[in-house]
Amino acid sequence: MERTAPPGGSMHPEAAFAAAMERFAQLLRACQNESNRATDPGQAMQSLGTRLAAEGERWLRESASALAGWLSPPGLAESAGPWFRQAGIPPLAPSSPHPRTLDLLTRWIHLQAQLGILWNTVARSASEKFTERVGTALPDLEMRSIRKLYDLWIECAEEAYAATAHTEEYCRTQAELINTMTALVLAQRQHAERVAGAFGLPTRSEMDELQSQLKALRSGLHADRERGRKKAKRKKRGAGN
Amino acid sequence: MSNISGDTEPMWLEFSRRASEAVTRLRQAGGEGVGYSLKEPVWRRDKTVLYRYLPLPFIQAARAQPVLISYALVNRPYILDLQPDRSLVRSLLAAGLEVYLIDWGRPDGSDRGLELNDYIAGYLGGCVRHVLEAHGIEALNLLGVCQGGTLSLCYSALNPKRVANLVTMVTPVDFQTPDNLLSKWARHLDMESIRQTGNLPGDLLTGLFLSLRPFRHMHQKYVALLDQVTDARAVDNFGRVEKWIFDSPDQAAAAVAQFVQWFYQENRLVRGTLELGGRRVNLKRIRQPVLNIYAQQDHIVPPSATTALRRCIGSLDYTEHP
Repeated sequence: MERTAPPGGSMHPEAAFAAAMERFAQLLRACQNESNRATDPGQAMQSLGTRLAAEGERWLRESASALAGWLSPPGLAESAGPWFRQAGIPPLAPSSPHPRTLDLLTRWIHLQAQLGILWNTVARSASEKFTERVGTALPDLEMRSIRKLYDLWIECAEEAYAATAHTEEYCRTQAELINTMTALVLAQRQHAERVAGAFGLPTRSEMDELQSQLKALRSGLHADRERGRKKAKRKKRGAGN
Repeated sequence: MSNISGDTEPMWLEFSRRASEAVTRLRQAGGEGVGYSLKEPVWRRDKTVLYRYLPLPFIQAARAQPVLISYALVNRPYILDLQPDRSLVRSLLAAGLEVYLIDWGRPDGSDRGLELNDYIAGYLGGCVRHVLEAHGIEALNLLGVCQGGTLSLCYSALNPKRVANLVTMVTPVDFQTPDNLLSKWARHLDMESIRQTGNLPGDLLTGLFLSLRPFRHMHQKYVALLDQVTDARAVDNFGRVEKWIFDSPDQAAAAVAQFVQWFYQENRLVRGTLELGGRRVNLKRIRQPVLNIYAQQDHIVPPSATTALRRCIGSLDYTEHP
């Protein structure tokens, strides 16, 4: 008899909670600053909208870092992400300028910039929506009022994000970024395989081939067992009759 | 709202108090186990384990055919038995059913070659055969949840005589409806190359799902928790669900590549072009009673993706329950 407890991945809810609290604290600070500086409340809200747009764009970049394994090539980003950590792939050395790798890196930089432009569009659109809906009065500096403001900002940001994230341009750019990353990983792997081959070590391709043969063997064995089992069952039924 | 630029200390104190209380309670919630009902392993192959749940003490005997639950590969199945008062498994047991659950395990590097058909014909098929033999019956009740529902549909179409009743919960069927953002993102991915890089890390999938609605799922839901810090039970519930969300197993490279390509990119299930183990998966062969349960506010499996089932199957006894 067993009860199950999860071991949990490398991402943790406590860390996600702490990050969200930090962002909420930034909003509180922004409200406080605008409130302290405000002479014209309408202008203050617009200024808050602009601040939130910048924050929103930063949030999106941070959110995307959850996909760092796809969106950041090793050697370029400080954190290589779970994919590379798991694969144990060493960072691309700057002194390994294989033309194909350089092409891929250039393409990756270009696509990352394109995605950045789209995130900027999301942030600007969210800010516009927010300014339209929020009115001109600054909130009271207490939790309940700030929460209302925060929820409105989230609503605007989510609407703006959905409008962009569903576009063909966004979907294609994100997918191409991932495809480029994948190509970079495979280029590195080819290099690693050449090195492994030179030392007489088994390569990934050879391991895959062996694994495939083993799987076919097990599958055949299983099919034989099943046939035997069915035959025995038929025999038993026949004996019963 | 008025413009008050006065003392902000109370606001910061309240924020700090609530945030620290929430994080303390979240940690405590993490210390408790999940998966409450007692169960025993009755069959296993590779990393897949079939569990049989023990009947509840106040239920004298099973009254109906057994039900086999097939959960998604991309998350862990204990969400179905999260706590005593939030447990589908317990509800089924309380209804007098004999309940079995497939745990697909956590694939590692040695599983990178596992294909979808290994999961459907091999593991799911093996579990079905075990339950049928254990109960001496010809057909069982199959309950598929989310991706596990898609796998169950494939199995039922290929082996209709072995399934007496089919229940699908939040199960994607048409993978290319206009509101399916995940599908749009997946459409242009080079899955063959991604497959070659190895198993897909679970954390990556978690990140992908969260980024479908990043502001709500990575920000707002945590801030909303500040309103509930005094309700220990609510924070515990939140903490358990959070643990589950962040507990995604890695995905076997070949299987996940096939799933994305065949279902999301080519929509083979509704087009009738899906083949598994050399056999065409024809949903019209599903003629047994079907209950399709879905969520109206699901952004990963939108209602349109699941209600497409009605027009694809051959069953005349089809019920939808939003």
